[in-house]
Amino acid sequence: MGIFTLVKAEIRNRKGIFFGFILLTALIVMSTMTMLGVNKNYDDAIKRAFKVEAKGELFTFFRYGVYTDELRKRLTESELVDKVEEYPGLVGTNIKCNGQSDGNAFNVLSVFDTLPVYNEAADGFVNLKVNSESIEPLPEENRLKKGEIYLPYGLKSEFGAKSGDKISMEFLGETREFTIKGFVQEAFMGTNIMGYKTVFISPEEFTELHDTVVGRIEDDSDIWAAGDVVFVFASDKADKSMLVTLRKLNLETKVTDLAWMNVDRESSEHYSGMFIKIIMAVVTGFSVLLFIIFLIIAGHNISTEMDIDYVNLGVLKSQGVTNGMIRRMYMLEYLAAELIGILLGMGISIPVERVMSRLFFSMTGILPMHRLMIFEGLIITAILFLVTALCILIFTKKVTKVTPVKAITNGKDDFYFSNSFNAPITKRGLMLSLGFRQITSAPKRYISIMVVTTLLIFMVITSQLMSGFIRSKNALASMGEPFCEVEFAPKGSDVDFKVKDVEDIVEKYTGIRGRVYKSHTYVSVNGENTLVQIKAYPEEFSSVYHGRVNKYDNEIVITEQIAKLLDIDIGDTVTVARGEISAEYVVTGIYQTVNDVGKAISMSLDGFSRLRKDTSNKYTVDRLNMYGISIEDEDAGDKIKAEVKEKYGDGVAIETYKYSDIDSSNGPNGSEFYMAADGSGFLIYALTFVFALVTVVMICAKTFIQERRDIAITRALGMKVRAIRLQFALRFALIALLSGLIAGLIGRCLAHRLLALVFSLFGAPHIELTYNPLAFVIPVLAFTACYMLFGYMSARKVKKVSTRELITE
Amino acid sequence: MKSMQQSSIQKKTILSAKNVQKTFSNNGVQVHVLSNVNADIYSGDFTVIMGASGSGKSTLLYALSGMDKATAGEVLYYRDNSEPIDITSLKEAGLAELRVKDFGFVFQQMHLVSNLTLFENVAVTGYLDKRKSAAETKAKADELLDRVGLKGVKNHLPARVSGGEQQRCAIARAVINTPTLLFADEPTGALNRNNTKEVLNLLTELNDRGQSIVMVTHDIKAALRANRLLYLEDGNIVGELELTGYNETDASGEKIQSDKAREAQVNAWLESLDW
Repeated sequence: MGIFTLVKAEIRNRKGIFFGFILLTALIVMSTMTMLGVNKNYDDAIKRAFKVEAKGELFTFFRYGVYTDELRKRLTESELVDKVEEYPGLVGTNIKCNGQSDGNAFNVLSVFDTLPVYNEAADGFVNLKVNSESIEPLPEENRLKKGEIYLPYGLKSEFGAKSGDKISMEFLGETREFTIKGFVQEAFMGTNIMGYKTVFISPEEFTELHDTVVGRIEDDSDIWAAGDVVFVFASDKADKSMLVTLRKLNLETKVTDLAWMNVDRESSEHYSGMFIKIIMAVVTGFSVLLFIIFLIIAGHNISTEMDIDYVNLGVLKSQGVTNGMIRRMYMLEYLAAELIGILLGMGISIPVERVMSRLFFSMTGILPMHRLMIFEGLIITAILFLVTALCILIFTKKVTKVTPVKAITNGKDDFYFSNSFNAPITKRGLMLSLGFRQITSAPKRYISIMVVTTLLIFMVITSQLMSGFIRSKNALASMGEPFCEVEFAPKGSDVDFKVKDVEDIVEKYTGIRGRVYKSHTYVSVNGENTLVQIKAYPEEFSSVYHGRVNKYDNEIVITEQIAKLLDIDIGDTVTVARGEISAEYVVTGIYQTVNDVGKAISMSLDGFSRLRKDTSNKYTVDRLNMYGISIEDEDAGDKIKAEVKEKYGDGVAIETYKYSDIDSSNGPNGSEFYMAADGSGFLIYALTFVFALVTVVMICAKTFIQERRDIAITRALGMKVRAIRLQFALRFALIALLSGLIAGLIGRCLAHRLLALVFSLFGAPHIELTYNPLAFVIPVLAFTACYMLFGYMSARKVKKVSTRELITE
Repeated sequence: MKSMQQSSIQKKTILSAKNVQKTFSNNGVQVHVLSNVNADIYSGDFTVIMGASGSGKSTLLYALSGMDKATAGEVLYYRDNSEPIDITSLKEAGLAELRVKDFGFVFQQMHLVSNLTLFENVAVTGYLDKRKSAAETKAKADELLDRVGLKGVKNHLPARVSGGEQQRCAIARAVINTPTLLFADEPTGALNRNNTKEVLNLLTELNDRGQSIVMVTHDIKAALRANRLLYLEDGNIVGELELTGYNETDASGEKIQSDKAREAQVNAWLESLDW
């Protein structure tokens, strides 16, 4: 019981510090548990989505007539396949909703019974209960009628759509309009990160539409308008990795080579949860850093407490209190703060996790589960306790050096550093020089806060560099997503469109900096289903960083991910197959793209023409899907748009962007980057400054106790309270400034590596950072100002230090 | 040295305590340390306040110097020819100004700022006084440290010099801004005999140069340096003794009163007060 009395007394005497540690722990636990919860609930939800929809492990869409009996036989006889499910499918193009258009093609299917329909009012499903894994029959009122459509939830945010809105799409020249009945959870392509989508219409309308479209398809047509959707169910003999299974299955059956598109479950889970995983990685990494900071502060705190309590410790020892008891006393004090912080953090994380999951739902299209992370919580608690206990054992080692006699005779060493570098005291800037002297007089006392501050500033600098990086034109180009002020595309194949005509219009108003004309489709590379980017001018805005750009028709460039996956390198020859046709290509370089998270290759128009049935019938620049031009004068965009509209009317869709609006518009380069980066950046800023505040307040409180007598002396000499507070404030500002210099150096050396690690998650491990001085200066100045303010605020107790304390009665 | 003629000039009051009371409250129990003190402090005097332990002499010193607030009563400070200032009514800024410009204070425990050198301890107090430039302050600090015999150790931290040296530094610090009044609370209380003598000589020398001093002590040897003694008992001044100046001489240059005679006179006075 004695030890609990001591612990209670310690806590009573240091309430502020105790609450500070509770707050720090709560922040760490809250952020970690929130992201763990978001991640786990998403993982569970996507597993449930695949389970209730029961559509196997692979979604394939074959052009009409490609899915032959022979192919079916090859598939069903493969030992990797358990069974297949086949459905007729349609391809909708030129999609428009709420004044927005989508350049991708949508798969249109007859609605399945197993699709969970989202109930907006209840934030749940009509036919799937919370945390349940079995789906119920859809009520009659939720079934689709002619003219109605269900969209995957990922499209809701893309179009800003709601039930009752209209959406139109073309089916081989015929435009149909549908009323949005509601939104469904579709596991394979429901996320808004994937361009392709599957939408659902009523069985009656589907049959009628399918018959019409099929009737219009010419035998030799290469147009994707209708076909067969085949869901492949993997057998027990399949590899655990769907990617490996798919590669084997493709080599065996040519299933992915022949398909218009494939999405496997593993890739789908990866794409849908990509941002959750990235933010979780960043937040977890940051939380670990915060925990390290927590331990540094705890170490500093224990050390100063032992200095302040030196005499008391000696007295306790003289009364028979053992070293072990004293160390347990410190341990219990900190573990008690940690326990309360953990409980508080976990409690707060429950509603925060709900909010965050809800935010991610608009991206993933998968409604998260709501399960409490009890097991994970216990694991985190155990880890925090264990590490803290271990560190406290180390921090309290010097308790053994305190002897009763030495302590009672006040025999501890003076904590001031006596004869090393002592900053000069000057009349001009007296408070600043006194503040600096305090630091140089007792540098050991400030090492921990400087380490902590350095780490915090380093994180903010890195965050700033990341923010600057993703917004720089060069960076976008290096990630394979160059910023184009003008983007255009013909609407349908019957438009008399010549890209040269658009270029002529552009050149009437401004110069062309570069062109990005490309199409995306899927091929297999040595059997691996891979995105191929067909580029008209691969040398313009090249993102090749090893080797050289592909020049000839038998050359390709590959990403690092493909190089690693297939164990190939520059100079190697690979087999690229599309449908029944295959050709060999030489790898000439490694490039970057964030499309398909970096699982891609790129070839020229002539290179892709080698994969056509009739190789003499070359693929031309006018047949691509995506056209972007980077212009010299971004203000010319509106005039260019107007003239293109005048020439083509609605035949060509054209959008113009300004680089200066990159933050406010979705832009042509994927707003997900900005969202993820800004989200992480905001989190880092918020947590960092809360941590900075708590750190300064706690360290200031300790410093205050240690310097109480000096404060009383200076007050007795006539120094005003405001001046003493200013001295404290300037001292902490100097600490932030010095730490900022160190953090800047570390940032210059390490930020690149850290960011490369983060961007490798997007598929862009090779980054070229621009070290904008502002990325360093702003965080350092912000911290300096905050530290000064926090220091001034926390030194308000100076008022309570009376010169009476110097009186010896 | 002060002459007889000087001491006969009518004294000018610089500080006046009127009905000063000080009460401490300890867990609801009121302890009256100063009951109703009335006293004047004169310019140029070396005033010593004596009294038994717990009589409230240090409390009175702190109340007079504004280091601590009296519970009731007034402490009037006559600055130049202007209206008297009631120290008990001053706010933080007023007190700070008083401490910088008008009052110097020497503590029993020296209370030097431990991470400043002796020179810096003196100079920082000088820097707070905006009337002097940095160069003037530095020169004055050097001069003072030289005068108190600390020139050789002026760049040492307090922990590296003796108690006597620390106290001499504290005195130099207290007079850097040429205060009207110097307060000293048992300045020799923590010193050995040699250091005590050095500090007392220093204070006497300052007084000889015209520095008004109010000192609290229970040491008769220290008290002998005063020309005026006040005796405090149970929170009231119950006795007062006027002496010649410690170094006051007659026309022939001889000390008017020998140390022995002076000690006998003080002892007799103290005995009459049941010391």
